[in-house]
Amino acid sequence: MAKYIIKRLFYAFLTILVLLALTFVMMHMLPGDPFSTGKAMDEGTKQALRAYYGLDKPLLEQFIIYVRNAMVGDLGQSIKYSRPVMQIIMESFPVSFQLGMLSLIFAVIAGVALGAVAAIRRGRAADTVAMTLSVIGVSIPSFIVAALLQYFCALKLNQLTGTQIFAVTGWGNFNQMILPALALSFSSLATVSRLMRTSMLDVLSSDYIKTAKAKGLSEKAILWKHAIRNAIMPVVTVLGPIAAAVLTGGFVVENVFSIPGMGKFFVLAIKENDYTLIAGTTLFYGAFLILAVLVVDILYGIIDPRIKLASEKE
Amino acid sequence: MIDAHKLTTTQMLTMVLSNEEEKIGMKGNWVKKVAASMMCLAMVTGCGSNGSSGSKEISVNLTAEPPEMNSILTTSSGSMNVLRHCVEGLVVLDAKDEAQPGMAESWDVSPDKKTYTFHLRKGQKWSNGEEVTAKDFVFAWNKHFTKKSGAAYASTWMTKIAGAEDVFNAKDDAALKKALANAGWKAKDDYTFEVTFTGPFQYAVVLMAFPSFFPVNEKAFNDAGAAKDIKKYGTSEKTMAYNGPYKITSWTHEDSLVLEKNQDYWNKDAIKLDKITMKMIGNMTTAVNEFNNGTIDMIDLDGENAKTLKKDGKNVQAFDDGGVWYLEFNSQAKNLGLNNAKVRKGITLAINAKAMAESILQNASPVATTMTPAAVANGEFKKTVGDLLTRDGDYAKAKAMLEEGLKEEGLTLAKFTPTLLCDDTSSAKKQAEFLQAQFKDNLGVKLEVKQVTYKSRLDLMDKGQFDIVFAGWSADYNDPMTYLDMWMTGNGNNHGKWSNAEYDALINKASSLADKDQYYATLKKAEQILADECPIGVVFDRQKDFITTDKLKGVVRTAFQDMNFNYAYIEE
Repeated sequence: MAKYIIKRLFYAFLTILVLLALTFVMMHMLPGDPFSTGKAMDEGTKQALRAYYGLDKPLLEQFIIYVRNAMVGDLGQSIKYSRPVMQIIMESFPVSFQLGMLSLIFAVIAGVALGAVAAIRRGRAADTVAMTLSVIGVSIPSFIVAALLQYFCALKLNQLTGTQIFAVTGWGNFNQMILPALALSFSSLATVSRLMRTSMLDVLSSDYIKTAKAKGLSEKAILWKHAIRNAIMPVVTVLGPIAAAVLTGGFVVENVFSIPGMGKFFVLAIKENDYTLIAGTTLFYGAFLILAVLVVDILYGIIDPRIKLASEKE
Repeated sequence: MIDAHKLTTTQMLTMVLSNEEEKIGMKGNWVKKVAASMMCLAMVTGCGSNGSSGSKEISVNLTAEPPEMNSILTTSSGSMNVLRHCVEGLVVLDAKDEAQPGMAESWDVSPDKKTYTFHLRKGQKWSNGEEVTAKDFVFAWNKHFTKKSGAAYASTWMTKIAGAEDVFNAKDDAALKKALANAGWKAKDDYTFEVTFTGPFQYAVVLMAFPSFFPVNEKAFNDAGAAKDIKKYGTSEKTMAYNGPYKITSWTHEDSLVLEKNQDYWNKDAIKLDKITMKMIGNMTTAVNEFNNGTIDMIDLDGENAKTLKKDGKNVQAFDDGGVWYLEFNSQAKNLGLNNAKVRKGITLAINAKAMAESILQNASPVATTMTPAAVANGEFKKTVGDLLTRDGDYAKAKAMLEEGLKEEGLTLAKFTPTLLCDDTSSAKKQAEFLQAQFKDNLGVKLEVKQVTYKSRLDLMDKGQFDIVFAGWSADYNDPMTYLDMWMTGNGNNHGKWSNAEYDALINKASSLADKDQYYATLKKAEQILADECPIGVVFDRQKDFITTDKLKGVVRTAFQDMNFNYAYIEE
């Protein structure tokens, strides 16, 4: 196991290095100057700024310096904001992470429940309703859900009741977190529920469930101990990509609820040609996602002992 | 229609969810309990988290995170909106943009009107306990004009202040030291600061209210670690010192910034608010929701939202933000005849400016008839100059002028296909579509559109690789010169590389005039050349819409003070 993890970590490192190199080349190919503001700037000032950010050096040298600094956690200084990129990430990522995790938890719990119910009540009204909902969930973009939730559940509900149950904007208090998390979870909830339904149907018609029934196990025990545990496997598999989607896809929801998350920096960094911020955020998310996939792979082995990790075959 | 439909789906979801949970049995109870406790929690935390009623506290929308709070370096109007409240320069601007005593209680002017001696108030404290002295000004100015600091405004100001160019262009440390010793700014003693300008500028004193000229306390600067890395100053509420009406007491990046009244401020009795929370809500719809929710006292609006709120009888206001918008022509594009004044003017006259302002901004922004908008000098200059570029809506005449110009250059209207360079944003697209229609309808010319990213457009403009751009310019200081010297030969903002020796001579002459009437008369001649030659075809002077709660009074919003709450108060 340890050997496997070390090997995977090594590959992860290589992947990140390649990702970073590509990002580096591509961002320097972006047209435009990070320092231009629409107001003429003296060439000398521009050169001073280039020197400050080390942009006057050859690209390869810049890359080597960047990697060396990144190893010790220094991702350089943002060009747009006069703050270290690491500090920007450390302030904004926890917010996006909380939002993403909250929505993930919601999506999984509600999605699994919805999918399971749909499977158990296959062909009946509950099934139709659940699946119609999931189609809608996949089709409506999260910013519309976010805007609707904000308008009706925060603004209108407050005007109606005179109590601020949900805040319109911000982050930190629980009443600020529920609506954005809900909005963000909508489409993953739909994915999870459809997947769960299919998988649950498979499991319910399998032999061991019939055996369990024949043994006289109660309905509850069959569902909880045998059916759901087995049916949930595919959901665990997509958890990685879904986590990636909610963690990187929070931009729109963060924008609607004015949440100080990390999403906007991706968009803004590229718009502003903020090289250090582009490289820093890409590196951070790249590393995060690669590690997340690794964790999911390991989790897989724990949930289903039949799955052996590569190195253990030897 | 769409909204109603979406609502029902959302409601359906909640309804169905609760139904399903009941059917699961055990789980239903559990989910219900969690939901109930969530609600309770939300209600508990919800109360009092926002809201500013009953106290002298307000909450406003700053729209975006200010990039830094370093007055030496900043070029951001967002940063200046905050700095204006917590750091004070020699003078402050009043509601009419005129200079009033600030850190300097008085000043003397030399007979040639070039040297100003500012007398500082004694006993003024920085928030770190240090006294505010003339040395703080010298320190900040030295840093600002040293090229290595990378202050973008230095090259704008260096032509105006004696010795600044020598400081900026110093080749090595020894030359820098010498230039700094000879610079036109000096601390004669702790309370006397002397500045020598390169000309008898009308705007000399007003300029001192601009953040580039603010003082910075050296100890606070060093404590922030800025001696080694200048960008470390003013990155958080703790890495800077305050001497203004307010102090920043908390700065949550990308979320909000809290200003609280500075009890050490010399004029604290005139400051009526105790606390200002500046939020950074970038999404317009969200800001409007926040306003309607009663949790924010002032937000900026776009034309569409302003209209809606006005219809609801809300307190929508507008101010001239000093932005003049124009078609910038590439005077070097000879293949299109854009080097010909008749071609440029013909196009300019063919644009229905009023319709464009109405269509793009959707508010009452006035049509521009000179480069300098009425926002400057309380309209005094505009009144002197009058309307120079007038459009009578006779598009046949405009077209004839264009054709004549093209003919002079050996070109024909049939082959005239200029390209408009614009950003890839939706608002830029709207502008481009409007101009395309105007070209087609009024001139019978097909206007090509080249959409690129914002930074790419700036890059292409700097390189002179464009035909026509729809661009805008806002003032740096309260004088027509901030709109006029940019069109001189070789100025970096003159992207179309238009050049007119007479114009250059007029601007240079104006800069040496101490008499206001003569100064205005000279600049009027320059404005006339712009109107005749149209290196830029002015279209409209932008007005910005905003809304405040009824109780918030005395907010100053002008072209030179985008947001100023130093005179604001709550009406009981």
